[in-house]
This record gives sequence, structure tokens and C-alpha cells, in this order.
Amino acid sequence: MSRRPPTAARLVAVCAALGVFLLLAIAAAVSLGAGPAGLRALLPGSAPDPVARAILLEVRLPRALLAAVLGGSLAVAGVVFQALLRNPLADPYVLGVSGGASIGGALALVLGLGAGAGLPGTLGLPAFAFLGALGALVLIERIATVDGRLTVYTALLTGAIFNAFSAALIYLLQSLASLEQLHAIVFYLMGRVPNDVGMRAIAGLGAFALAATVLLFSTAREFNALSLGEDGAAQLGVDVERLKRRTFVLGSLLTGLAVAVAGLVGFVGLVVPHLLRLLLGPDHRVLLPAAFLGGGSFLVLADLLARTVAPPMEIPIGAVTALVGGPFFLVLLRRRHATHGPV
Amino acid sequence: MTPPRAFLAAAAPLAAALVVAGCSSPRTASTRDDAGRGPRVVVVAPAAAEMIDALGAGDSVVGVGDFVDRPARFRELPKVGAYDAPNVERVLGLDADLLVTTRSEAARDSDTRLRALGVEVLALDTSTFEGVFDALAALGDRLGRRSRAAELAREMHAGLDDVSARVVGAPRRRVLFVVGRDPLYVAGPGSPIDAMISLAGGVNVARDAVAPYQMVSLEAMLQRLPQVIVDTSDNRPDALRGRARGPWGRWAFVPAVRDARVYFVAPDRLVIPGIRLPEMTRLMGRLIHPEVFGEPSPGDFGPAADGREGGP
Repeated sequence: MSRRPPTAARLVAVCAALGVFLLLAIAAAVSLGAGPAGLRALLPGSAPDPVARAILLEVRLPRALLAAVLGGSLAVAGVVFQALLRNPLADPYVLGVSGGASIGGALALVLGLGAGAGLPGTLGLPAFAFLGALGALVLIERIATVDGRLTVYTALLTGAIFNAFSAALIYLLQSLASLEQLHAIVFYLMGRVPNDVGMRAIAGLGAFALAATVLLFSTAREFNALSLGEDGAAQLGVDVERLKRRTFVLGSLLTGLAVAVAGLVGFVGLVVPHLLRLLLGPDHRVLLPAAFLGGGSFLVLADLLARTVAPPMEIPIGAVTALVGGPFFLVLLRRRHATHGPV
Repeated sequence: MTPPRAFLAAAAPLAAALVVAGCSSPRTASTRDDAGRGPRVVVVAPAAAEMIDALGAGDSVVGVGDFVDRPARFRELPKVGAYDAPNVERVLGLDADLLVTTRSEAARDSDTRLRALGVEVLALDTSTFEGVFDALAALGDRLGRRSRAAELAREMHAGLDDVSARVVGAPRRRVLFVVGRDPLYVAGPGSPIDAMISLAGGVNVARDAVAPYQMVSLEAMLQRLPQVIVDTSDNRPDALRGRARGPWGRWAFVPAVRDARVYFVAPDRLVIPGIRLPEMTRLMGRLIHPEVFGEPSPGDFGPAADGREGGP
């Protein structure tokens, strides 16, 4: 690693490029939409059009910003879980946190907390989902800790089984739910970027996601060492136990919050990390900030497509992320193989 | 053993005629009955349950689907499961002759089994205006209440004509009708809601949707500047009801929000079509043209009362 001092320069260059890309994605998401309102409405000197202005700034902008925060959180969680588990199939949902959040969310909907007026209506579902995520986090951490050590293998298995268990519990909840609740649960689990999250909540979520990303970034070098295996990393002086716990907790919090707000938006946390690894190489010092910006851009653009591909209809964002992201990723993978051999 | 459909079709009107004449069993699919009573009916479609009651044939109902809650006395009857998957054993256990259900792909399996076991299945499509009237006629035929069904249909048409006559010349207001808020689901063309909006002097802002109920983008709907928003997305007993801005208050540039023409209404007041179509259309009229029909009252927003409410 020390042979490549320009890491700092690379980091700045990648962050600048992806930062500009994210800004462009947000600008596109604000200026393009189902109707004729365009970015021109915001330019000084243009005829004042309060409706277009409101559509851009009050409807599209918050949603684009929220998509950026959610996409960034999920991609960062994906990167660190892939590093932690040394498993390319790992995604933010693999460790069971999403299962816990889904149970919490579905429970809130069945208890009638997911809609309606007042604080329980707006906060009930995310709060329950986040509590569910925390519960799953604690449970899985307990089970996977053997002799004071977090065994990654057990955590992975426990997570998989916990997710299956959650799915079963959700089927049970669905069978007890009314028709409207059933619809609400299905849509929640399908994943969507909600329309009704206020700017202050978005700022709070963004601050949290950024803080978690910075904390994870501070151990980026240790993630690099972890690719040698736990023993290898320990020989390089990494406190592997501490790293695993921190990563597990921070990654789970990022995932839990994203699922609490948006449901299970798939694919971002799996494909964006791999995409960026293909493009930028495996160095986590570059990869982590890149994942935040790249994941954000990806979800902003996916949401833009979901809104604009067939107006006035909107298609579920999970369909866009997988339908567009999947083939794009495969093409890139093939190109990479053609030029560099298997990754 | 599926009863031959041609036989059923031929026998149903005959059986109906027999009942009208005060004779015994209208049974076609089964011959178990010899006590001189009407068919034992299990109804799993909520709209059909209200129709059967309005036809005066409520006494023949021996079991209901889980979602049937009107009229109130039906709620005491044995439950047989959801409309898309009635429990075959329970239907048979009730010694039912006739299952009245919603036409749906999901129910095909249980319907086929019930038919094979000798229970007649009447699958009704009440998802459109025409469907409601067809279903009423079909039930009238099958339950021997033909003249009552015709009378009800005449009353319903008269009630609907009355509403549309009163909004002639009134400005056609843009209406956003919300079925689900997160994600946003609206009623599009082909839905009875769309038809009711037109009858009541409004224009559905989702008129270019391709499905009767569709997920749409919020900004597309807001950009069309609806003058009235009807939000039926919340079915809970403690839901926000009445004239209020609620979560729509954020979009102050929308005329409906600015002029406080946002209404939160229990879905069964407007969404589930059936015998109450004229009443629903009149309520739609009050929401769109209060200057013609009078401002809606607090009682207009909660779940509909038991049984059929006021005739035309």
C-alpha cells in the first residue's frame, strides 16, 4: 500500500468526480419529471412560475436527496459487509437486520401505525422498523459471539436463518392483516422512496449516514488488511475483534435506517460495491467514500427512471434497480474479464 | 361432478319463477333440500352481500366471507375465509347450495372444487358500473327476486341521473382521488370512481392512467393542480376524517390544498361499488360541488352505517 502514495490524490480525484456525478444526478432528478416543469423555472430572469418552482423544490428535490442518502447508506453497508464476510454475495440484507426491520415495519402496519395523522402515523413505521433492526442486530451478535469472539461464519448463518424466520413471521402477520394492511405490507417490503419525508428528517438521516460512513472510512486500511483473512489482518496489527464489531454495528445501523425509511430496496447494496470495485480497484480508502457517492447517484437515477419512464405511472424502484443495474453490471463484468482476466 | 352449465342456465330462471310463485326449492345443483326453503347461500363478496340483503333474500344466507361486514347481522354468521380463497370444507359444512363470490383468478381453484362437489358458484364482477347492474340482475334471477332487482336497478339509475342532472352547467373541477398514499395509488379510467367523478361534475386528473387502479407519480398528479383531493387511503377506525389538509398540507401550491378542499373519507363510502352507487355518487357530488349539493357533513366521512342508507 505504501508503494502507492498517490492514494490521497486518487481519493480526492474519485470523490470529486463522483461528487460531481451525484450533483448532476440530483440536478437531473430535479429538472426532469412527469410534467413540463424544468430547471429553467429556477433560473433568475425567467418568468416566475410558482407551480413549477414548487414541483422542483418541494416535490422532486426532497425525494432526490432522500434517494441519495438511502442509496449511499446501502452501498456503504454493502461494501463493509462484503469486506467483513469476505463474501462477494454479501449485501446489506444478508446479516438479518433487514429481516428484523421488516418484522418491525409489518407489525407497525398491522397495529395500524403506518398511516394516518399525527406522530404515530408519520414515525410509527420507521420507528418500529428501526427497533426491529436493532433487535435483530443484538440477537445475531449474541448468537454469533462464541468465547467472546464474533464468528463471521455463524453471523452469516444466523442472519440467513433469521431472515427466513422473519419471512415466515411476516406471512403470518399478513394472514392476520386486513386487505388494506396486506397491501401496505406488500408495498413496504417492495421498497420505495417515500414522498412524505420532510427536509429536516432527510437532513438528519443524511448526517447519520455521513457520520457512519466517516467512522467506517477511518478503518478503511483495516478492511484492506482483512482481505488477507482474520489471522492475516491480526498479524498486521489489526484489532480484528473490534473491527468486526464496529463494522457489524455500523453497517447494521445504516441498513436498519434505510429499511426503516424505504423498505427493502434491493440491488443497490450488492451491485454498486462490485461496480465500484471493478472501476476503482479493491482499496477501501477509495472504495468507501466512492460507495457513498456512487450508491447515492445510482438510487437517484433509478428513482428518476421509476418516475419518468411511463408518466403519469410510477414503477416500483426495486424493479428499476434490478432491471437496469443487473444487465449493466454484467456487461461491465464481461468487459473487465476480456481485458483483465477473471476478477 | 360438475353440474352441466347449460342445465343450470336453463333451470335458474325456471327455479326463480317457482320461488316467485311461492313454490319450493329453487335448487338446481343439489337435491338435498326437501324442507321447502330457499337455497342456502354463502356469500364472500361484500358488494353481493349488500345486494342480497337489498333484494330481501338475506334470510337465505348461511355463511359469509371474512370481508363481509354489511349488513350488520351478516357479521354474526359463520365465516368461510377470504373472498379469493374460501375454505371449501367450511362451505360444505354449512350445507350450502350456492356460493356468491367475486370473479377472480385467485379463487378459480376453490371455485372449481366447490362446483365439483355440487355447490353452485355464482362469480360476479362488480368492479364497474355495468358490472354492478349485471350482478344485481344475476342475483335477482338466481334468488327469485327478479322484479325486486329490476326495481332496485331503476331506483339506482334514477339516483345517478339525478346527480348528473344537477351538475349540468356547473364548472368541471379537477379531482385527485387517492386510493393509497404510500406509494401513491389512484383511481384511473375504467374504475367506478372515475365514472362517479364524471357523473358528479368532475374531471379525474388521472384520466390518462392505463389501469383502473394505478401507482402514479406524485408530482404528475400535483402538477395537474387538482381542485379537489379525496383521500380514501386510510381504513383504520381512528383515521383522520373530514375536511382537513393532513399530509397534503405540504403542497400549498395545489389549489385543493390552498382552498382547503381536501377530504379524508372512509374507503367504503366511495371505493367499494355496489348497491350504494347512487349514494356514493351523491357524496362525490357534495365533495366536488358543495355549492350544488350542500357542504358535506361530518357524518359523510366515517365508515358507512350498517345496511343500506337512505333511498334516492
